[in-house]
Amino acid sequence: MIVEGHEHTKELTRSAHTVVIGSGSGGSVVAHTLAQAGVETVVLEEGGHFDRGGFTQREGEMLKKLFRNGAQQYTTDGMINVLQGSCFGGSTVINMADCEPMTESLLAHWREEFLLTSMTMDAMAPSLERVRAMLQVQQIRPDQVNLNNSLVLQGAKKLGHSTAVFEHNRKGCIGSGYCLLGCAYDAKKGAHLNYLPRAIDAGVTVYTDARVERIEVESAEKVFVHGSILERGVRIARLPFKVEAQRVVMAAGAAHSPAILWASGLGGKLPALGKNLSLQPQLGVIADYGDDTAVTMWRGIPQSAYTTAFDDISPEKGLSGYRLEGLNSGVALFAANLPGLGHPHKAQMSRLKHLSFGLVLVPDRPSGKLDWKQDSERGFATEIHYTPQTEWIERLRKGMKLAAEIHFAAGAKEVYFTAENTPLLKSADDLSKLDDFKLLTGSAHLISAHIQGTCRMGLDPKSSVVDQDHRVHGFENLYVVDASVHPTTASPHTMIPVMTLADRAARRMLDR
Amino acid sequence: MTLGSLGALPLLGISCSAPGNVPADLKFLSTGEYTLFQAIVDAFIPSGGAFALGAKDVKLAQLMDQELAKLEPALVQGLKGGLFFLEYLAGPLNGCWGRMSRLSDEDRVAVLAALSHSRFALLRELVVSLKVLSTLTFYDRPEVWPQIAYDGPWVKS
Ligand SMILES: Cc1cc2nc3c(=O)[nH]c(=O)nc-3n(C[C@H](O)[C@H](O)[C@H](O)COP(=O)(O)OP(=O)(O)OC[C@H]3O[C@@H](n4cnc5c(N)ncnc54)[C@H](O)[C@@H]3O)c2cc1C
Ligand code: SF4
Repeated sequence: MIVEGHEHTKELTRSAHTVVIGSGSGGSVVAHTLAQAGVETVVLEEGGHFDRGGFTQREGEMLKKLFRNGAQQYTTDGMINVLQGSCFGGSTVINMADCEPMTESLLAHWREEFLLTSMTMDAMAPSLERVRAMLQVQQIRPDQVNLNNSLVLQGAKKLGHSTAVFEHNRKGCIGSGYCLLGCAYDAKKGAHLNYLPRAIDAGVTVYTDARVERIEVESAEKVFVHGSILERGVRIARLPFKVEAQRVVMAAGAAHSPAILWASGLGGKLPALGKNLSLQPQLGVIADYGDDTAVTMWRGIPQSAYTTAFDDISPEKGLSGYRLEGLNSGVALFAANLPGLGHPHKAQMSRLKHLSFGLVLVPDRPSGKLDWKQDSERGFATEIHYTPQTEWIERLRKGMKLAAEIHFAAGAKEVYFTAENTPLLKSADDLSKLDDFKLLTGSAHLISAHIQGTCRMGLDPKSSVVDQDHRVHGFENLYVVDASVHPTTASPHTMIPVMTLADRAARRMLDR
Repeated sequence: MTLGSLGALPLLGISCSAPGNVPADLKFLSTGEYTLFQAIVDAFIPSGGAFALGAKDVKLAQLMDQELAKLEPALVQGLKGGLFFLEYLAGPLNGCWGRMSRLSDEDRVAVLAALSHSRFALLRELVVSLKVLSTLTFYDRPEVWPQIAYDGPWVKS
């Protein structure tokens, strides 16, 4: 059953064996797995419940409804727009459906650097298989690669760089191009279409518009979860709720699971809470292909092609390197990130049809932290502090050069980036202009879709928050199963890793 | 960019310079702020040029006033202080004497462009965050789409 915020007329009090906080990649998988095993489970989700009929393909409306802070969540210095879904199904509703699992090299890195001995591909394989089957993961067909993405493949091929086309969790996709705003055709198989409905069939109640503000651990068998039923849209508290449970599973995402733990007074016991933040920031690249080429980037699967030539993953370093991925972000969001103002900005927008867009994706080492403030309205407010490291900026610069080279090889007339101080490149001979490019706050428009690491998994409670079973150090009945547990960035695309780990974690809970 | 991170800017009032052009039912901005805001969004997205429509033609300032009122307070906490700075100090600091709302269109664009490349991060951020919100709202308007050859959503509401 789904109970929406507006259905409550009085304070909610109830009990359940397990409360799952958040209904995204991590929470949906755990709720489903526990419910299938007969565990009485309740999901509390801050965002609203929307279905295909509510996905209007209008940016102004859907960004506000489906995203955290209406897609206006930024790092404190304003440089990185940290995107997160916040609705029934979490980020799986608004993500790009690229499916990229963790690799053996990455897990080897976690074993070697963080002593996570149980993180092996063999141990992960059954969970990965179940997740892939549930999401109906399949290869994007060549005829589904739109021109915007195909230009990445063409340019890279001319330069001799290897590329790939993603696997995705879409079925019956008609290529409308609006994945970021929720799929109005139910072709993108987010958790709202599989894990959550099946969990509900197995008896789970999902409360939407229900924001958890703190938990109170009374004993190893009893936890109280406190929060507010919200007015949808404005997210103002309407009514309080209190749910008693034997076990609480945090899956509120990497910005909010640690915040709830902090607001619950557990920060003192968990010194690593909110630290080790990875954002894997991405910078946009724009290529103008001239009047003879209609790229029409906004139609078709938004993201399908990427370079692999400069991916770098090893047991020593984990995920590193850089890559170019094609992307359609939506026309208004594209405009917002385009450099310049006044007539020059309009002139660029008038060329929209001929423009290609993509992202330079550069995996990072953890280099940020969260901080919190008490907030009378919301209980707490999260601050995201992040400083790109010099080594990361150097790889970004290489990625920018790669992106420009690829686009010129594919026939672009001009290339520039989503930064107010971007140089305008007219040919591959101009690449050296990027040597002087400075990454400035208030100038570069970076986005992050992969916030991770703030409740790091590890053995030592001083430097990590959860153990290898996702249990919060020092607590028998408190778990974290979302992207915050990744000790370092798990994959260039984090949905499948989060779900795989969540599947494994839920089974470990059942085994106890 | 985020208007939230502009919280350091002081909150001071802007006196109204042309109340006649201000809608009566403002939700977030004062009349003085609205006059300035309108001048700024018109500079960001002027009418004419590469295509006909600009901020003025879609009543962008009015639309944004309503949108700003719906945003969580933390997200817009610095905006009013930022507008005060833009109105009274930004011009003089960039060699244009007078209030921003009363500058010529050309001078206003020049000042805003200079601020977007300022050596002070907070000033860059102020201008660029306003630009982000303005363009996001403007290019979401159906009347703008034909002008940029965007054929719009497939779902018809
Ligand atoms: C725009 C975008 C595109 C992406 N594209 C891809 C892609 O193509 N492929 C890929 O693999 N990954 C992609 N990702 C990343 C992937 O979707 C996320 O890494 C993954 O969903 C994270 O899972 P999670 O469980 O940590 O959090 P989420 O899926 O974000 O779920 C967290 C949920 O918790 C809820 N919540 C938060 N606080 C509270 C609270 N206090 N009380 C109750 N509920 C709360 C939120 O509202 C949200 O619904 C993308 C992400 C974004 C934002
Ligand atoms: S591109 Fe495909 S999956 Fe994405 S919104 Fe359109 S139909 Fe749905």
